[in-house]
Amino acid sequence: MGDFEIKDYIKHLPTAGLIAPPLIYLLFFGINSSIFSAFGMGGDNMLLTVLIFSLLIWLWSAFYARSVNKFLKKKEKDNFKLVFGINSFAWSIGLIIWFSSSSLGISNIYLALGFLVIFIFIVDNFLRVWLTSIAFDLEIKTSLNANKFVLIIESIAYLPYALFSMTMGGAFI
Amino acid sequence: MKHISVIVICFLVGFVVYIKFESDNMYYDRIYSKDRNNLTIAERGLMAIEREHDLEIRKEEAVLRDYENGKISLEEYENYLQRKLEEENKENEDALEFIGNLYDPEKGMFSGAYKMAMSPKFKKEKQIKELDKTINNLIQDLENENKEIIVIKLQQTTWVPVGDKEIDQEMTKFYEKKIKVILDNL
Repeated sequence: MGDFEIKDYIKHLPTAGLIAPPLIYLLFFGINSSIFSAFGMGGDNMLLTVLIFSLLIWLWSAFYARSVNKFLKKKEKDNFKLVFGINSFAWSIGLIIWFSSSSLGISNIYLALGFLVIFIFIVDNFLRVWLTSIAFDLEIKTSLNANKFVLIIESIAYLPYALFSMTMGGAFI
Repeated sequence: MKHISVIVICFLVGFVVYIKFESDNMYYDRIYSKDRNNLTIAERGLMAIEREHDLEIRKEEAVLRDYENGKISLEEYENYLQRKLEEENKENEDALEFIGNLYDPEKGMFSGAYKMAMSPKFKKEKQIKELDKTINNLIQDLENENKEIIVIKLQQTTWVPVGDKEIDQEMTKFYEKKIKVILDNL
């Protein structure tokens, strides 16, 4: 058996990014089907919901990928499919963390949510930057630069909520 | 070929989950009624718990059948029951601990809001508003009430400590000075 080389798997990221969101949502709904069914969700509605959420993630990933690809084009390394795969895959990992988390053993729900959001933010963006760096043979600094727009949007989306939750949870008192 | 297999996997998972949803809905239709629109959230929650319980019983029956058919040994069956009992006990203990701590002022879900309300800074802001309002009302009452009574009331208006030495010293001095100026003008 040869050595594990992450680069060998990078080429599968576009496919992984495409199938991961619907699969994760299907698994989530499948595990919790008795709860969703009790609240009136049928099989058709479930499939429609999975499709809508997956579309949202694909569109958001494509939006991020467009920005990163613009930077990579200047370096003549552009590959929209791969960047899309990286972003969609990072989103999917965030989703797995979100769905599989309990309240982390903290009864203070606000604090638990705050920690969770920060954790997802770090893991998501670390994956984006790290995978971009490996996939396109870039230094981490250059990869950060390529993802700067994505990081700004992510910070705007996640951090105010995390700060609100942490404040409500009494983290700053 | 790779793409076709990926699409097939997605469809298969989707189909399995779809069937699971249909089976759960059929269970609810059979046990409750087809028209479940008037049920409350609590009733629906209880329905889901009952369904989970039903699935659990079916799983236990399947394991028991395996034991009766000789597919698993007595030891394996006992181990399964023991493990299940331990898991249930742990789940119950965790749930009780979680609920017990839910409204705890130190660790509960509202502990942040509670700590904020109890913090000296918050208490300071609240007391400043109250004292200023009291002083303003007393000054306005000068037209209607006896001056001596107003003076006594003003002398009694003092800063109540909020638990922070620095804030208490600063605010006590501030209000002593403010009330002295008002009294001197009276």
